[in-house]
Amino acid sequence: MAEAVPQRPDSAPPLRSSWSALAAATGAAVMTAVSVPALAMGALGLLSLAGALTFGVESAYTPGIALLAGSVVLAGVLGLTPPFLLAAAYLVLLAWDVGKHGFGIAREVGREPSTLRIEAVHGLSSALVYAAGATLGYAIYAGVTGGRSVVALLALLVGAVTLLFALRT
Amino acid sequence: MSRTRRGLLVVGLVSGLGGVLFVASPGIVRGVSLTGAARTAPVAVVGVATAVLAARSLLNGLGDDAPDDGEGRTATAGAFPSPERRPRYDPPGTEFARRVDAIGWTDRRDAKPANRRELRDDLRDVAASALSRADGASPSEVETRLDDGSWTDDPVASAFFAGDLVPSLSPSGYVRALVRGEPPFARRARRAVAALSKRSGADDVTPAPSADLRTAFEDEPAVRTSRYLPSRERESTTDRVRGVTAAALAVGGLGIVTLRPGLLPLALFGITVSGYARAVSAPSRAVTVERVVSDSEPAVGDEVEVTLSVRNVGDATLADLRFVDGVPPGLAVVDGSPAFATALRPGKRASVTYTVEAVRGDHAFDPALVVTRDALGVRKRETLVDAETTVSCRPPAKPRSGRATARTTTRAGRSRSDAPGPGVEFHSVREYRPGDPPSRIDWRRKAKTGEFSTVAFHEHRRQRVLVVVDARTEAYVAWGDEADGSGGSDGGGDGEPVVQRGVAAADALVSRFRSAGVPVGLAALSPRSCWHPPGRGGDHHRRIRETLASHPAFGWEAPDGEVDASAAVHEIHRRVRADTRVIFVSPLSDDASVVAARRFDAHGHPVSVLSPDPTARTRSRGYESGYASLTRERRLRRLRAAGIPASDWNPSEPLREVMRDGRSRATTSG
Repeated sequence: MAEAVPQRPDSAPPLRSSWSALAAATGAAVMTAVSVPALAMGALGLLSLAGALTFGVESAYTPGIALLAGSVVLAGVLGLTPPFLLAAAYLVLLAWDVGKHGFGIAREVGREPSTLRIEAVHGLSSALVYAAGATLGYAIYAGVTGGRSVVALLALLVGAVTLLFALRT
Repeated sequence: MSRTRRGLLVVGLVSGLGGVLFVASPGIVRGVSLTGAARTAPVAVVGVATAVLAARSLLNGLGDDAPDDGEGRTATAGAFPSPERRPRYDPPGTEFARRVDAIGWTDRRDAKPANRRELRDDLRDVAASALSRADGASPSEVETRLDDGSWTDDPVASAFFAGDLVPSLSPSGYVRALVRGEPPFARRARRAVAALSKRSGADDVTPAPSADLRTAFEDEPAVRTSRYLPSRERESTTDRVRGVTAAALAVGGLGIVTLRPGLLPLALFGITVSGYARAVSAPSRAVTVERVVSDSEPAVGDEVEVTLSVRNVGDATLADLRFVDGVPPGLAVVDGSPAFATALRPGKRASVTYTVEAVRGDHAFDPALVVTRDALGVRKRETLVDAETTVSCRPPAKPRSGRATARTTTRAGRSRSDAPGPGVEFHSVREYRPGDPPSRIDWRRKAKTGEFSTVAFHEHRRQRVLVVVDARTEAYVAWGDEADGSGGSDGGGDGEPVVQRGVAAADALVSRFRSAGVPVGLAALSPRSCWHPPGRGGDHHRRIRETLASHPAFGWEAPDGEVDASAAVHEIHRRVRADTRVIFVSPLSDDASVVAARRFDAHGHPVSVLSPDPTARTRSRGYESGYASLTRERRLRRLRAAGIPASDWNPSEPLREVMRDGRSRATTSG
């Protein structure tokens, strides 16, 4: 694939990171394409990501991710089922993390040295940690929908949020 | 832990456990059936509260996006270190190019745009000097030609002097200027410089800026590892965590407010990431760094292989380890990269090899920068790790012929002084005074007249020489074809600072004087003071050469401070005998260098100037280079007009050529 883009700027992330991020983002865009506005948002976000990764413009990356996240929220508001919603959010998060990590590598290490190891370790760890988050979300969703208790959901959320801020360092 | 925090903790724990309990056995809350406001109010309150928290978190994140290092923002030098590049030296004329670049569209609104007027006045001086030399015309003729534009065929160039400071444009001309993106005045200035250069015999100067100048304008300067991290160690947490948390909370809040329970679980991502960031400990710094160079005393131009190995001496795996070696400023990396990234298990070692090209001087490596992160890249620790290595590269001392060394005697030097005394050349006759040596009594006169008289001769003294190297910031201009380093740059240079050529010349001069038996000293015109009084002998000579190779004043990094040329010259003058001959080695890149040479002259020192020419290059001469040549030639002429011999030296030629016929050239081309 490297031949397809012969001259990438030095600030562009390594190819492996770029393709993984783009693949994850594409997955998210496909999943959230439940309506025309959500599809449009996702496609726009995807375009922005592709541009940012190809031309090495880090400042264009976050807006692209924000657009994708927006399309996830929109899909959620429009009634996409939570399992898909969780998966799409998971992919967006992964795309963000991998892409940002790639930009960091380009900035600090450059193109010449092999960065396969840190890319692989980082990608796998991110995938695992976010998967834990998604699983947790799915477990609660499944538990709550089984019991049909909004109170339980609320209590869990309040607990989680307050714990989060209590433990803030 | 503060009281509110403890309260929050208790509420969170109770609520969370309650939630788990309700999920586990829905029967408990089945009895509680909420209706009306009691059902919607808590939902709305929690939703709004979550959204507010998210907003606050996000705002905090935007407020201080710089990593907190406890020392404020000055602790970082900005960009990540890029030691594989040399420090960037501006090509000659960059100062002028900046002035042209600063000509803006908005100047048009001023009634008298000062920067435009100054630019034109300066260029007019240069033009007057260059044209009167090229045409042999009188000053008033030159002024007339400049005013009516008959000095050049280029209408754009002639309009620079003949036209207005703020040219009035036709609408189509205005559109054209807008398309070009450059005010017409700046364009005219560039064309005028190119036309002037052509009149002065430099046909290769184009009105466009050279490639080197564009690189100098665009490139980020190279950052040394020690500058990047003066505090030697820093820990930071990425604000990615904050972003994810805030976004997830916001989505959760939105889900509550819009009553879409499907969005609620998304908040869990924020909680997971945030929890991870809190749980993970700061990455280990237990690494040792070892650096091996293939040759610590290479010859100039040799390629030296540097191997840097990093070992994880801790007991935790380093998931993300990046390091950048502290390549010294003078050494350019020609092969490989001094940066590396890997994951390292305990006890394992990783290494990187790269090649640098040796240049003269002592080059001490900066500490290597080691950056470790946890697996998710949330926390990062940057550490400078010392591994002291010095590559010292000295040009070989030139063996002199036996004839020359044999002349190193304690006898008088060759310079004839005006003082009467012993010698061979007749000076004067005076009355005999008791104590005059009998050999100098004029016995014939005694025989003729019966009176004693004493003959005095021109006394021969050993002339002392002081080599003064101009190593001010202004002298650190690049010479030769920098370009991209590829392609055969036969002319040499490669964007080295011309000061290095001056230092090499000083080295050659010192050796030459030493072999001629002349006491020679060394001084630097630099904020970094360097001084060797004139002296003789092998040890003295070795010390001077040592200084030239290793003293920071002659280093590869331009000094930071300013130096007052007149004051510095006065200081040097106070330290040496008044008849000491001064050889001033300077690229003459600014007027202060001329001032320095003339101050030496005014203090009574015989001065000569040896000037390596930074504008001598083989290709791609832009207008800025043309301007630099024009002003430099003018300075040379001013020196020669003041009776100071000044030799112009193209640094890609061997110095011997200049030194052999330097005197004749300097005096004939006055």
